[in-house]
Amino acid sequence: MTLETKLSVFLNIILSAVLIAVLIPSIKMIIKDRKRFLVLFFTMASMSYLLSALYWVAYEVIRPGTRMPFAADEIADCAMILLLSASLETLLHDKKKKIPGELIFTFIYICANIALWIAWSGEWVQDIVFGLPYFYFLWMIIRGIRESKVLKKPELIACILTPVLIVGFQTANLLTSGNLQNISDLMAYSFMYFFMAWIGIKSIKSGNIYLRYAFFFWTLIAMYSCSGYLYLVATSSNILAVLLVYLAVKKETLINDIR
Amino acid sequence: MIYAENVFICIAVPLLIAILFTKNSARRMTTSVLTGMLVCLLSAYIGGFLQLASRYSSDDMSIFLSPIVEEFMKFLPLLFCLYIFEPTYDELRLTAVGIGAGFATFENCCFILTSGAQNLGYVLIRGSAVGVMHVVTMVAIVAGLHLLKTYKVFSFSGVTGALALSVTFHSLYNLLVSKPGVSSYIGYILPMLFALVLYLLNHLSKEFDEDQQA
Repeated sequence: MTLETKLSVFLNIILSAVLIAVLIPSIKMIIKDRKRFLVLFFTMASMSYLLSALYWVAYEVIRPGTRMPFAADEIADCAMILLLSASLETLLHDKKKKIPGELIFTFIYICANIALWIAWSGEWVQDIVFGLPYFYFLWMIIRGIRESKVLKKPELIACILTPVLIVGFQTANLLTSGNLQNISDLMAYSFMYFFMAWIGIKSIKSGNIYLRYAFFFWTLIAMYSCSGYLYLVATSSNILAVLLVYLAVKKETLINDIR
Repeated sequence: MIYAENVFICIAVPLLIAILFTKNSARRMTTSVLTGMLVCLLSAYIGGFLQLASRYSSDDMSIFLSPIVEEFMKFLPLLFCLYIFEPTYDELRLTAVGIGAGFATFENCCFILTSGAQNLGYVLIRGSAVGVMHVVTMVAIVAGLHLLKTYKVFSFSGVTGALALSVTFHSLYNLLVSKPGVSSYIGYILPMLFALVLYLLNHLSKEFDEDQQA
């Protein structure tokens, strides 16, 4: 087992511990009040994510160095995304649901990401099937951010342009070679991690639930796009995102209680 | 080689006759056990086909594809029961437990016929790990479906989530027991542990409901 894999296993164990720590109070909340849809979906999503992380750890320990084909942890990840989307849907109250611009952006962005995943892994069916729930998730996040008006117009434009730019650099990285490839690689990762840091800080400062889900979404995208030590940074950010999302869910539930 | 269909007929006929002479929950339980056994047989057919199509080894098959097929196949009769008969939570749980127990029983029968039952220790582990695992995953699915139904948020996402939980749990178990050593011991304990957690949650939930009513 390489040092990177060992660190990755260690981080996944921490992620599992964090998820267990988040699950216990969430389950308590469900037992005490049966009308908390948000907590229910969040708890089920956390359970899926926990099982996925445990499966990944077990796989790396039991079968180190072997390629993992179509496996249960991807089903669990897919379920987690669907459940988190469902949890967001319980919060949304916007009547104007189908805004073409939002839908088109979501569709194109997720399709571009799926195409990149296919180009990297070569697994067509798997990437398409398990990529589709991200469409629903991203759409819910965008609807939430629009509805809560947490971002100003320039920030919104930056949020749309940066991911598009990153996809552009990643595509250029696939199509070029030599210095151009190195530059596009550097640009893609710089923008990706800068954007992750910005959205993370913004979500902590604002406490907005949709921004925290967006931070979580972005850490997942970074995890799927990176390898080596950058992947470890993305995983660490993902652990932080899980905690932030939990705190936002808890806060939202308490607000609903006061109402 | 064993003839699973013959084993199935041998076990199913007395149960079929028993259904004629039972009523209410006893009939529901017997029918569910029988359904679970049939589902196990069908899963074996589908698993065999997938193994040929994917060219996976039997080890890879049991880790990657069998849990998905088995859990999905067990889930289908449960979903059918839920939508057609609109049962209460207790009735649904009884059906799920029956399907899980039937599935585990038939799988264990075929396994013992194939590899022998000389080693009592191993047979006990097989019974208390795999047997419990099939029942526990079904109970977990029912608990999830019940919560979704209670909340009136019986959506595609919720149902998929409940199914995915059982598939991943089953896969994790199969992965852990695939290699002898510490991991397999953890795997053998896992279903019992999960059963205990589910029981405790159920108990806590009931206790809280009683307190609220009082």
